[in-house]
This record gives sequence, structure tokens and C-alpha cells, in this order.
Amino acid sequence: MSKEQVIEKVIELEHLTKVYKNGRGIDDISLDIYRGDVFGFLGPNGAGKTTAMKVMTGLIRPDRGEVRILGHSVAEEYEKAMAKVGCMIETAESYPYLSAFENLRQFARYYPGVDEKRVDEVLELTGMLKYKREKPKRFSLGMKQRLGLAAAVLSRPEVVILDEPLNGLDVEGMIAMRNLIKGLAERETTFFISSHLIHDVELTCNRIGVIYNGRILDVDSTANILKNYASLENYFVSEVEQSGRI
Amino acid sequence: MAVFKTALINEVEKLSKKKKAWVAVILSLAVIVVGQLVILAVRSGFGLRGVGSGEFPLLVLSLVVNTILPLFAALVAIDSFSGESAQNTLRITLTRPVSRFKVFTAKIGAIALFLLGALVLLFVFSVLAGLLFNASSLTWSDFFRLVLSFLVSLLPLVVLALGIVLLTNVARSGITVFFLAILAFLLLKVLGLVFSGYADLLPTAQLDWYNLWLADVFPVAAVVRQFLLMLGYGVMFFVAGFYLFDQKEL
Amino acid sequence: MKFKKKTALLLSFTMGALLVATTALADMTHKSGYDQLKGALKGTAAQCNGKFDNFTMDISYVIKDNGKTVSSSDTVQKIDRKDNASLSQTELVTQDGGRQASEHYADPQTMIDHSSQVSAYFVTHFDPARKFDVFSDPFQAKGAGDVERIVDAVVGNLKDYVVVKENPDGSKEFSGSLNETQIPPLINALVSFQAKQGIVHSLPQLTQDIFVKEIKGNAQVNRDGVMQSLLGTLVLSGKDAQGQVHVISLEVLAKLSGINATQVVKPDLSGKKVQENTVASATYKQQTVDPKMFVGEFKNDIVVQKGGKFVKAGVRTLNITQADQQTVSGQYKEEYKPGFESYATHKLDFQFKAELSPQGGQGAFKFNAVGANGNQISGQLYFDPRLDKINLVFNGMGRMGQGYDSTFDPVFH
Repeated sequence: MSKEQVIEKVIELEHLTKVYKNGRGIDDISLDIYRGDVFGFLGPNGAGKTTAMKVMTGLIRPDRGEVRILGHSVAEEYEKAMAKVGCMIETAESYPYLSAFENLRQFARYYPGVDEKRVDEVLELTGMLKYKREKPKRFSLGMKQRLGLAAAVLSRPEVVILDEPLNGLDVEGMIAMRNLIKGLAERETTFFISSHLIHDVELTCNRIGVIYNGRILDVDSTANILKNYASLENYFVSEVEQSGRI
Repeated sequence: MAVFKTALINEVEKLSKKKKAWVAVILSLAVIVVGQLVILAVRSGFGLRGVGSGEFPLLVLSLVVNTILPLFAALVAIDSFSGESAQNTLRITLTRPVSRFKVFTAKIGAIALFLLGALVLLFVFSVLAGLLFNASSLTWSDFFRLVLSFLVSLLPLVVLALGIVLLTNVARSGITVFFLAILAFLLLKVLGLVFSGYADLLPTAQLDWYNLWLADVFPVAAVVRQFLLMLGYGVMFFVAGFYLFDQKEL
Repeated sequence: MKFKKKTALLLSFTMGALLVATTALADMTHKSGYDQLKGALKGTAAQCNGKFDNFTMDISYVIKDNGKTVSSSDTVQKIDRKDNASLSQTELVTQDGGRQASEHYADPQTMIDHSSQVSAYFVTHFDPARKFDVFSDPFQAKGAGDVERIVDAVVGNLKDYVVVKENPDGSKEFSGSLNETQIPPLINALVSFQAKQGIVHSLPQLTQDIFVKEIKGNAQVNRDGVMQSLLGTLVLSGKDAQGQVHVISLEVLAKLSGINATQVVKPDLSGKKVQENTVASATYKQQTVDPKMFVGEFKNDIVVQKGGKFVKAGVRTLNITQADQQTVSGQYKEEYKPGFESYATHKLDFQFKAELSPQGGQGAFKFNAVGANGNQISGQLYFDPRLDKINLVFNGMGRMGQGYDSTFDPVFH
């Protein structure tokens, strides 16, 4: 079998369930993300996007189900599963008492091929190079977001999981971010991006999954959706309405 | 192992970049300066020698081992666990290819190194102050005993830190943990006073076990017992702390 | 995998807990040398208070300065619990080699005191017999438990410095020593300070670099758990004003012997000079004072040294004009004879009204007055219930002047 014929599964979610005490959470989510996908995880606030992503990255244990990244179980082989993953979950955080450079160097140490040159590279890529020596406690939300993205792509990951990456970015920042994602996607990086910004997902992602009330409503390619609907927004509204009727 | 080493380097780097670490260094030096001043005052005021050069470091040790060193242990442990948890920065470490066990162990390793550093600092400066200001010469055997006293004091401090780490994984807020730790520390000390016959069994009783190491007839049985007791407490604190840390939802 | 991790955690935790539990058990069954010593002391005290009918305690001390004996004392106390009598004989040797012997006998009816400096035997009869315990267990005393806890806390991790040697016959030898580096510095400072204040007064005055050089001790306990001897040594070092180093040692030795073989013999007073005194009440119940009896004039002489002699320089007069259970009023004045005016630097002359002093007990009155020259004077008056004498004490030693005599005798006209 040649490589082109088999589409490699990069992220596998199997019957993932996690219910919080307040009744919210995710319910029986199964998803496969393939190599090269720029997967848009679309859903309103509180739909369970962040919960799903936290379970995917091992921050939360699922009540049931399993996540495998590049074939390794997150629950059991965490280090192997996360070796080629970069992520940014919920909010872009950094150590306020370390400079931008020191923050990134902390993470760089975990990856054999990532040196200080690469740190400068990602700082350049995210437009943060001029703040290299500054501490994030004086950074704006947008700058913190850029630093968080720099940290996510630092290790040249094969899989990037981003939770609301455009939060706090200005228009210029959004465009730069979109270009960055597209650029990396061309080099076979798989993305899993959550967002509540429909327009942005439409522009960035080639596959889309809609999550609502903790359940996956539908997964389809952007191209297919746009064939049947005037816009992604129309598709989303129709999906949610259908679910509401049921 | 390489991953653990990385985690440890990271934790040590973070610790060293914090203001708290430097406050601790200054506080340690202040203890030595104030201690030496008190000795000089006692000497000229009451005509007492106070201490010879060999005893000054032990005086410093006897003071700090029950006061500022446990305090440092608490501050650093709380910062490393409760603090990072509250700032959500624990998340950015834990989503790297490193297991929680290694992160947990590295954090404790960094705390232990910090306490070791504090002990070394206190040792060096108290020996220097002792030599400069206090009469009578310091023999090599005295020096060896001093090194031993400071070194063996690390173990009970680490056990104490493990206990505080357990607390940081039980209670959420750092301030709660801090007061709980102080309360527990004082409570254990009072219990040790009230039930003086069983005081040895409390996890705070070993803080000045360095005294055992200084005896002329080395009390092997007592040293072994206290060591096993600390080991037991340490294992319990570590395992319980790690279990909670591993279960933590971030 | 997951199962394995949980099992491993549970197993480690259990092992830790077991380690703590078994060590704790071992710790509780094992007694440190200090605990054994404490047990032996308590056991001995309890047996002395219960099991033994009579025994002899010998307590002696020697103080040496640079190896030369400065002072020593030996007290042999014979105690008979059955007959409730005790006899203690003390011999004290002072620095100049002088010896002082004293003797004290006590039973419920009698107390006999004698000292080598005074030829007479002082005998006190108690009628009816007083309540008298010839020996009481110090560990049963009030507050002994608290003292024990404090000592335990201070000793702390030094407990294992007491080494026990068990002999094949079941007897035990305890020994322990602490040198200057092993003594906790705070304790060293406290003991040094105390030593400087206390025992050192008959010794060269140490002024600097005082420290405890060594504390050591040993004890012998026989196979019945009776401590037969206990020796403690405290070695102190310091310099006197001339910079001379003194090593002062204090050795205290206590021995217990003659268990159930001690006889307490009342001193034979036949042919001896005896001063007898009878106390009516067993507990020295305070005799009532009737202040009215003290109305009148009381005097004593102002005596000064002049030309190598004591010379009467004048008279102090205390005139009580009114007295009842609550208040006393009167006048005090000092009069100097002609030619002694130069001694009258503290000459006092004032009227006073004194009130019963609640702290002073019966017969004690305190006053505030203004002297002839306008200065404030305060003090106390004490009426002695047994003797018709008044004690007048001023607050502030300076007021009294040198050679002030506080005892005033009545003037009978």
C-alpha cells in the first residue's frame, strides 16, 4: 500500500465522555482527524469545546472513552502521545517572571531538536522578536496570545491543538495568524482549532465539526458544506436548529 | 530520565527567577548577622562567651531549622503548586511531553535543591561569621561535624516540604495552604510538648535530629529509627500528594 | 497499565504507613537512655516514699577552681519513715579550710538544730505535734508533670546522649556527657548566666568569656531498680578581670544507701547547753496582734563609728499616738547629740498616719508622709506579735542612711 492511499489518522477520539458536576461537559464524542486536516471545532460558548480539548491534551481525565494522538493513548502513553503535539488550551499563559525568550526556552528543553535559534525563529514568526527580553506581565492580551502560539508551534509539531487562537488579536493579528496556520498546514501540519468565530473557521479550516450541548452534530469538509449552503453560518444555524427539534 | 532532568532544570530556573528565592537568601543572611550581633551584645553585656566559633553555626542551625527553613519550604512549595495552579501556568508545563509524575518529582526536586542551597548558604556564612567574630579555633573535626549537621538537616526539611506539597494538593488556595501549614506545624509542636513521651513520632520532631549525629557514642538505633520514620512519612506524603496531583483537573 | 499505576501507588503508600507504624511501635517499646534514667529516678523516689522503711541519703558537692577545691559540702540525711524522724548532718569546708558542721533533727514533736559555731542546741517542741512528712516523692509534687514536660522538650533530641550499660546481674550504669559544641547554645548561655549570678560569688569574679565547657553525669542503678548513686559534673570556663582563665567545676554526688538498715538516733542532749522553745500551734498559726498595745514611745540609738569605736550619736524616736486594727498614727524623729550634727545628713522628722497593709498580713501598716523639709517619705511599720518591738522600714534604702536600725524598743517610764 502506498502512503497516498491510506489516509493516516492523527487524532482519534473514541466515545469521549466527561460530565461535570453542573451537568455540562461532553457526551460520547467520537472523531477522527487525518493528517493535513485543518479541523475547525465550531460551537457556541459552553458547548464543550474546551472540555474536549482538555481531555485531548490530558489536562482532564475522561469519564469514559479514549484519545489517541499519532497512535499513542493520551491516558497511558502521555509523553509519546504529546511528543509531536503543540497546544494552547483555554487561555494563553506564560510565566510572568520569565522573559518571553526564557518562557519559550523552558518548553524548548523538552524537544531534542529545538534550540535557541528555533526560539528566535518562532518569536519572529509571531512578530514577538522585539519583545524577546521582556516579561509577559506587561504584555497585552494579544501579545500573550502570540507568545502562546509561538509556544505551541515551537517544537515543529505534527499536530497543533489551538483553543480560540484568535482571542484578543487585532485584525492585523488575525490575518497574520491565519497565514501562519495556512503556511504550516501546507507543510503537512495537522490543526485542531476551536472557535466560535464562524467566518474565521470558514476561512481557515478545511474540515469542520459542529459541537452543541456536548455532542458532535456533524462533521464535513468545508468544500462540501459550501456546496450545499450559502455560507458556513447558514450550515451552522441549520445544524443547531435540527438538533434543537430533536 | 532526560525528560525528568529537563523538568528539573525548568523548575530550578523558575525558582531562581522568583523574587521569593532572593528574599529567602537575604533573610538567611539577616539571621546570621542578627545572631552574631546578639552574641556580641551578650558577650560584652553579660560577660558570657555565648558561642565559640565552632558553635555559632550550630546556634544558627538550631534557630533556622525550626523557623525560617520550614517557612521557606512552605513558601516555595506553595508557590510551585498552588501558585502555578492559580495562575494556570501549570497547564503549559503539563501539556508538554512530560508525565505528571516527572513534573511532580521535578518540582519536589527543585524544592529540595532550594532547601539544600539555603542550608549551604547558611553554613558558609555562619562558619565565616563564626571564624571572624568568635574566639577559639575551629578544628577539622568540628568542621566535619558542622558539615554533617547541616547536611542531615536536609532530610527532615524535605519531608516537611512533602507534607506541605500534600496540603497544596488538598486545599486550592495558596493562602489557605499557608495558614493550614503553619497551624499544623504549631499544632504538632504543641502536641510534642504535651505528649512529650511520644514527641519523637511526629513528623516535625526530626527537624533537629542533627543533634543525634553529634553524640560521642553514635546512637545508631535512634538514627535508624528516625530515618525510617522520616522515610515512612516522606513516602506517604509523596504518594498521597502525587495521587491528588495526578487526579487534578486543570 | 492504569491498574498497575494505582496498585503501585497504593502499595507504596501502604509501605510508607507500615514503616511509620512499625518504627513508631519500635520507638514506643524502645526507651532511650534518658527515658530509662528518668524511669529509674521516678522508681527510686517512689520506692523511697513507699517501700522502704528507712534509708540514708548522702548528698555532697565539690567546687574546684583550676583543680583546687574551693568549697565542699557533705550532707548525710538519715530518714526513718516508720518512726517519722530524720537526722541530717552537714559538713561544709570553705575556701580557707575552715570547717562548719551542723546537725538537724526532726520528728513530729521535736526539732533540734545545732551548729559547730554555736555551742547551744536549739530545741523546738511542738505541742500538739505538728503535721510532718519525713520524705515526700518529688515526682508527686504539684507541677512536677509540667516541669517534666518542659525538661523533656529542652532535652529533645539529646535524649540519646544518655548511654546505658546493662550488666549481667541486671544492674545498669548510665552515663552521658555533653561538650561545649553539643550543649544547645541557648542552654549554655542560660546556665552560664545563672552560674555567673549564683555559685560564682565565693570564687574569683569571672567577667568575660564565660561558657559551659562540659556537662556530664553518671548513675548506678541496682537490679531492683534503685538508683544508688548519681554524679553530675558541670564544668564552667571564664576569665577574671585580669584575663586569667579559670576552669571551675561543680560536682554533685547523691548516694542512696542503708535501705531498711538505717537508724535515726535523736541527738543526746544530756550535759549539753540547750535553748528550748515551745510552739503551741502545729502550723505556726499567726498570733493575733493587738495594735493598741503598741501605743507609746519606742526608741533606738543612732550608732556611728568614730575613732575605731561604736559611739552613740543620737536617738531615733517613734511615738505611736493612736492605734487600732486598721490605722496607726504617730510621729518619727531623729535627734543627734551635740558634736554629731555632721552625721545628720538624713535627719528625719515627720508625722504619719499608716493603714493596714493587705499584703503585709497582720500587724503590718504602710504609710506615706511628708518630712519636715518637705520630701516624700513612705514605709512600713511591723508590730511583732511575740515581742513588744516595732520594726520601721523606709522605702528606698537611701532614706535609711548607713547604720540604720529598724528595730525599736519600748520606753518604759
